Amino acid sequence: MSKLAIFAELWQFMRVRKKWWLLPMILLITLLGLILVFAQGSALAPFIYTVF
Amino acid sequence: MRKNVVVPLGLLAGSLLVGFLLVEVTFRLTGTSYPLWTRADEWTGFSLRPGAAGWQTEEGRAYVRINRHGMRDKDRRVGKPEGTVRIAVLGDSYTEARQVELEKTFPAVMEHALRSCDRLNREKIEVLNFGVSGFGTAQERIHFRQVVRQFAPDIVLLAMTTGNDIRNNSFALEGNRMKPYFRLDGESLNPDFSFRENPAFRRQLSFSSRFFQSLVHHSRALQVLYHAKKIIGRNAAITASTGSGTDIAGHETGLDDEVYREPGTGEWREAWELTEQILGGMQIDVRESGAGFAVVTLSNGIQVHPDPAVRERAARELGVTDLFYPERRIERTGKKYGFPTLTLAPMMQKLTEERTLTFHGFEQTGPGAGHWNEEGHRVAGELIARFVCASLL
Repeated sequence: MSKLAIFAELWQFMRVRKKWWLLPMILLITLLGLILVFAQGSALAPFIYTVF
Repeated sequence: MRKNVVVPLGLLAGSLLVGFLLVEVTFRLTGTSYPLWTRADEWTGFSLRPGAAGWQTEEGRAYVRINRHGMRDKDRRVGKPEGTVRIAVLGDSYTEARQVELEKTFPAVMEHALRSCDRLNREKIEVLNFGVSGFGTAQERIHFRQVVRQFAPDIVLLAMTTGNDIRNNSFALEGNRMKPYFRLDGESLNPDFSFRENPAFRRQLSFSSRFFQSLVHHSRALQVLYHAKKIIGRNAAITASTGSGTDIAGHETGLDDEVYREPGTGEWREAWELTEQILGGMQIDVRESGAGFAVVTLSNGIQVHPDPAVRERAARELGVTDLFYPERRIERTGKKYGFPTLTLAPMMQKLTEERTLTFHGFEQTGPGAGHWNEEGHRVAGELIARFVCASLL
């Protein structure tokens, strides 16, 4: 719950201070973080080679 | 009006750039990397990318570095140093061995063990690792002709993974249009480089693709994105391969249970025929270069599974008495063409039983599955070194 609160506070901060330029940066960081989690949590298949 | 557009666009670009740099720095500080290990190659379809380096953490854990010649090895000179016996090991992912540290790989273990071989007369020994993950015998033969021969080895050892090498050599079974094959035209064996005309392969060689790969090579954030794309491709491949032999005990996705019995289909008969002829041709290529040639068959997880009940169940379900059909067949091929063979799987199975050793498997895979762990490499390296010392030097 507290982790989600960080996002709520960030949103509040951007809205009140009109710092909308922070939004693309936060979205990009979140997106790459999620992709990293996906990449680390994928099924392991040692003998399937995806070369390209 | 113009200012109204320029300022927000500038802020957007700046924000994205700062975000990207923050991610890049974070990934570098935390050691997060997914290097591009391979690049397109006009001869073998793909080859190892010189200078690629990073942690491999998917199966086992090791820091991997590809040298300037595109080998997972320490830096080597092309010209053979004076007073040195040079052994070239060709193979696939078992030989490249990204799962373990370089000094734990079986070619490195061999190099160390062979220093005490009494047949060497003060000569130094070098064991060069030419393994490339995903290669089959056809690519290994071409790799020898195009690359390995320049290193002037005295002995060429071909390390075969029977679990997928036989299939790798057959277009009918493999279906991969991004690499070369050999084709049987009547009695003659001819290379088939038609993959070069494949638009998907040509795209890999285009300037834009190489520029993008260069960016990925240098950026950790892009490496994560590219790796995610590859995972999507891998998941599709896993789904596509599900169904073939998945009920057999100890089955591993990407390995073929069909190799353990007499080929039952035209495709498998042709795959074996191709493999045998490629080996016969490779022996001629190697001998013509002045080197000695030998084939070593490695082990598949199920052949040396630590639980004998699992091995017996697999054999029963396959309708065979043991899991060594490929070893016997490669031995027969060696006798037919006149090259020595060493079949590791029966020897390693015996060791598994006598000393309760586990040669395959890591934390991520569980015991008995996947590539060789450090123990597998150690035992295999010592056994191969003994064979080389006794029979080839």
